[in-house]
Amino acid sequence: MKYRDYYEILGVPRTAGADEIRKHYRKLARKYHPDVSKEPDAEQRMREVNEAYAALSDPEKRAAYDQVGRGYQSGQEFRPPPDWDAGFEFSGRDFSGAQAAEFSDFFAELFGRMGGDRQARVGGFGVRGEDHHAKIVIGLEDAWNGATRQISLRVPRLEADGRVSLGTRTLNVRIPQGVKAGQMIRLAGQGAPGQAGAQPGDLYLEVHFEPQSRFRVEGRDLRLVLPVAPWEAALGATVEIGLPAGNAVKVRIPEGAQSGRTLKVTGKGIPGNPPGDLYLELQVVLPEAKSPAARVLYETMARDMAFDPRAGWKGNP
Amino acid sequence: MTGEEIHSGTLLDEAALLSCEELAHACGVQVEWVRIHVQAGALAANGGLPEEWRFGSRELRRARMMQALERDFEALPELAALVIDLQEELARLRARMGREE
Repeated sequence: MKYRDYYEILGVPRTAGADEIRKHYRKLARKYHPDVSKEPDAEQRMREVNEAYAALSDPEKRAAYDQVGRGYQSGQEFRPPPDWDAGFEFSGRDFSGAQAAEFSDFFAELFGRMGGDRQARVGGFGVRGEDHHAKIVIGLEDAWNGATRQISLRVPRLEADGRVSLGTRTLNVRIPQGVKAGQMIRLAGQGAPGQAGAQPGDLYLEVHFEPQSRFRVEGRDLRLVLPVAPWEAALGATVEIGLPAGNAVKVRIPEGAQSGRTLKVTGKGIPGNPPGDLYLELQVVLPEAKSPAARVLYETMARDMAFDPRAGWKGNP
Repeated sequence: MTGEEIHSGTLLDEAALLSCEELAHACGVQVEWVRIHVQAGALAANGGLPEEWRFGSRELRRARMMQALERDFEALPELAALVIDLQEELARLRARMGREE
């Protein structure tokens, strides 16, 4: 296990006061916020910053960390001495639920005792376990057909000696057909265990789709830019479109269709109750005039069709 | 629990919605926190009286983000709600541009 220098992560000296630590944390939280950060490893950095702040913003944890980590450098192999934490009474904050699952083994090793202490203090009062949250990334075809997916979650686990360690839990989860991006699947009783015989918490899985190369998903609707040849647009045509689940749908392009026009195919989006629709935005693609034969065709059109694509501009500068 | 067991969950929004107490528990906050945020317009509740309020996936996600913003930045509820409104708009526009959120 590697030693983590929480002061270095937050960019503060070891003598920093609570205000300075808070100020640096907020600055970094803004810098690495996953929705706005341009940093390639923003999510990982944000986790490190959260962990460092959880340790240094709590006076008990900070004192313990300072004592046990004296003389260590960042990345150095670290093993805390036995009973190093005797004399510290942790309050139990920051090592519970989903947040703890994101923290490192180093954090768990240092501050893992508090879960047991808290349980002991609760005594005979039953307290329902915390709800946990996780994201699950699925393919569009999983939402289309429904599926069973295996997910792995890092969870705090109470050991026999009262310590809390981080373990991995694997769950097989049924993905319901028609699930939408952002929708939550609630798994009753799969959160943190309850205390003193109380009910466990629930696990909420937030559904995300793998990035799609062609389709854009809005709820259960699918949107697709459909390239068509000029003659298909001009004369009308029937084209076959492959859908994410491997099936296909035949769509009639109406005669005289133009680029930018959107066709709606009702009920051909992601199945569900109600099913989504399929929206096709037509994009007329011109063949290149590379071969002599192609050039002749374009020259014939130019000569015989008397077509002015800017006719509507006349008199309207 | 075995690795072979298959868990079937409840799909929020369709099969079920969360009560005020359930939303508070899911976010690790007091029920009063939920009440204040609904009354401030930061969270949308289906139903008239607090005991009839029901919340779906979007409100659960918003409530958790809001709580993190208030905790990390000591943001006022209205400001946290505005940040989340802007984040949702950003996500919508990114999706429209065909980029990963």
